[in-house]
Amino acid sequence: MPSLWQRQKKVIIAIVVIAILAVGSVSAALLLRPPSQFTIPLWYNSDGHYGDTEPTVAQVIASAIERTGKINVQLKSEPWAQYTTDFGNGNLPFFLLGWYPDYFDADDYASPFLGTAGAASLGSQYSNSTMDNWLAWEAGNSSSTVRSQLFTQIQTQLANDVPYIPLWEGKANIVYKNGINGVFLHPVAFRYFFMSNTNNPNTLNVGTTDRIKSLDPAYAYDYFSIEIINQIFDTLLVYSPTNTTLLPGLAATVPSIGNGVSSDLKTWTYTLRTPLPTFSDGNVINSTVVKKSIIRAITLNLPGSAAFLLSQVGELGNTTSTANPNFTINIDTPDPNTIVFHLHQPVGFFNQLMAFSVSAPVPIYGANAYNMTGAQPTQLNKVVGSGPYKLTAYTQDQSLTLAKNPSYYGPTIYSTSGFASVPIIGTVNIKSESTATQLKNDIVAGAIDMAYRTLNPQDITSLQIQASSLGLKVDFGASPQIRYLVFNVKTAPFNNVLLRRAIAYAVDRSLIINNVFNSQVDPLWTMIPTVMNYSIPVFQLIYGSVPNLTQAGNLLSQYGLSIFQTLDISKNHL
Amino acid sequence: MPRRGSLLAYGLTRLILAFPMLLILLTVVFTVLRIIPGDPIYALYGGRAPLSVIMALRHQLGLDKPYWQQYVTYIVQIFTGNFGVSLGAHYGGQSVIAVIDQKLPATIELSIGSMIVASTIGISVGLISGINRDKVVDVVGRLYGTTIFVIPVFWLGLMLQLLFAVDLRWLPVNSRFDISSSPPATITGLYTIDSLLAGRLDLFIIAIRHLALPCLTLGLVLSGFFAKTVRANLLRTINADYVEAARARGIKERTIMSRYAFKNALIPVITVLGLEFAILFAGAVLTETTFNWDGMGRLLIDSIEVQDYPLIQGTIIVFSFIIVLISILVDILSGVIDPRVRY
Repeated sequence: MPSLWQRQKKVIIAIVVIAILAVGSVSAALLLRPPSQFTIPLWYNSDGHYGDTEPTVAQVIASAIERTGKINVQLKSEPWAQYTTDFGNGNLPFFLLGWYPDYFDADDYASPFLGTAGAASLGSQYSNSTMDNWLAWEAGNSSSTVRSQLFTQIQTQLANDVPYIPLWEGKANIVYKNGINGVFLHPVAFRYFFMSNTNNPNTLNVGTTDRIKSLDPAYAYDYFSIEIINQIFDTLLVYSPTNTTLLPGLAATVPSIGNGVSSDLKTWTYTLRTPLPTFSDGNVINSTVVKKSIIRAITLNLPGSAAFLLSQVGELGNTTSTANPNFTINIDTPDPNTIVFHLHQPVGFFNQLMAFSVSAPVPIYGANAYNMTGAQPTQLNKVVGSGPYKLTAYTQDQSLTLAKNPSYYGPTIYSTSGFASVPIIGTVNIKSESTATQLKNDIVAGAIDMAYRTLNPQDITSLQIQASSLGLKVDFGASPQIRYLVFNVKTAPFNNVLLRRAIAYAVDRSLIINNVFNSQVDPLWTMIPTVMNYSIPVFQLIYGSVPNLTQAGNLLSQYGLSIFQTLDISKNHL
Repeated sequence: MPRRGSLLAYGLTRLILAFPMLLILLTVVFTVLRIIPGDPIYALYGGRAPLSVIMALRHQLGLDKPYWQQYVTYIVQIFTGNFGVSLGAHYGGQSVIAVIDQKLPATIELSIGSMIVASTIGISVGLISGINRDKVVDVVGRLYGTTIFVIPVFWLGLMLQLLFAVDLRWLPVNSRFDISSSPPATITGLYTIDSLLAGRLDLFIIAIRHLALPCLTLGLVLSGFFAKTVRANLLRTINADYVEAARARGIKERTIMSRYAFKNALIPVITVLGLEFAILFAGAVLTETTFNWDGMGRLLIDSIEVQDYPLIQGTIIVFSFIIVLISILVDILSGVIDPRVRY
């Protein structure tokens, strides 16, 4: 009887050949396959804190990075409360963030990001002792030459170390009916009291997607509350209608070195106008009122307020740390007109802090005296300021009305800027909308005269096209708002500067600007926006205006991505 | 359940049973909020303040204490009528009760208006369909009931808004009142009622004009459920023995319909009302956002965004309490109408 081999010889050979071919093919595929891509996460906010465009922005950035062919970007998102907690605790390795300044000085775009303490709060964990020294030096220096040199060094170091990648700077936009004049998209303080309305000379109806948090200067720390505070309260110094020049407000002059400011920048003296300015209830604002208002803001230290800008950034200190005598507040009032601030450390931009809403004097004495143990309620007749307007109607989250303050001390303080008397319009009604779509519908339907903050980019484009038929104007202006990417430089793989630089080469700003924002924003090449002094486009100079994938690839190869590598970094749970 | 069919005992039993239900809900909401990652104080500053400021504030507000301690404090506060103080960016520092007190009337006004629209349209469509069973009118009615119920409320709202407010300009686009008019002085918080109490017909008309679109939107969506329920019940009662008996006695068809079939068909609808209110509140969240309606729905969304623990807890408790209260009222009403329910 023939053996199995003899009977099935051909079949067995065929099976063996097929098996060899199969094993060979699989082995070849495995050996010749492209290297596994390196996976990095990119986090973004998921619940609209930065508007509806955020997922698209993240997607566009991811696709630009993936063009290197060596990195796979995994998009991840979180709602704001979770997002802030995670990056605050150093748990997000690579994420998108934004910034709007507290005071109009380049320092506010450098110290919070590159100083060791600030960088920890913003999630980059960047720490460089040389940088800290430069920052302390520029903050305490008034010479523009010295500051310019320092900011050049700071920004160059920023571009070399790449703890952040600047992406774009916003453009403010506003849509309003023809016939409204005096609309200035001021980079710091948007004000209604320069506007006139030929359609209805005494009334202006405005819509916004913003809502008031509080109209107590010691508490407010959001754009819209501060915007309204700027109509109701004056500060020692105020901004020019059209630019960021400081003008005398409650104070008679803008102090400078030798004229109220000591050469060491630690003593700042302000002199109130004569006769003394008044609040809308007729009560006088003297030096004691100014002093107690500042102390009130610092000592209340209300949750979410800007009090830390005075106590920590402004170096005024606070009384909650009485154990440390360096942290007591030292303000003198030698006479009713004079206030002298003694700072713990030199601060070159103290004037800007005195023009910020948190420094606005509030009634301390009399029937309308502000609450000294908590926030002043934001209610009708409880908001008493010294500005051109007073609050005459307020329904929380819905609407508010501003009417001329008949007791305004300073209708002529902007006369040198071409405004003989302010306010011009008698009544401004402001309505808060729930969504950008509602805001657009309202301006199209004619229910409001002006839409300010925040229309969707596509709605702005559509309104630009329909502007003449609808009788509308669409204006754009400089904005100090910036958006950027953050690396947690203490977390692998982003603790390697080669990877950060490679991503800086790969990022495509024009894709974001054109495809997401319809060219309604501008590229940003450093953390200091172009509207500020000392801004140098360092990322453009070092990494180029367009993505350089060759350089990115070279750096990634140096980093080690030419070998098989698979690494999945999600949240860093250090 | 009481052995005897006392209406009072029945009502009391339902009310007592509601308390453990609310306590369980409180505990679930408290736990879920703490399990979800995120912190209201970090959200408040968004990275702008130094970590030392954030840590000091968390300590000051007791957020660094163990959860069980926070829970005990919270429960004690709730049972002493203190819902706490908001921690979020929008309402920070305000009493939760005060915020809810300000928002609740808007939602109540919207809910009542929507329920009127829903019941009027829904019951009418249901009756017409039921009476004309399997005719073209019935098919159209059934199609309406199914279609309208599945339309997303925000989409319908936007379409109505674009048509009636933006294009035709017959009605206001959104919000509770005209931007250039002052609402009536607050008595109940319901603008329609307050304007009538103030004797201001002009303000009443403004309030009604603003109510029209949101109520129509939410009411239309809810009317589908009513239409289907009424139709089904009417068909059941039309074929009931007592209706057949009435027909046999030679009573006119119109009388049979109005006195026998329709009346009995509406009894289950009352029970459905309780359930409808829960759906109504869910719909209110979206309707309020679509129409810039400043009520509890928007408040809930705002507080969730910033993880404002006290405000989220307070809003959910009030919503739940209202739904429980309505359920009890509906149960009692059912007990009054149909004594069999009590046994």
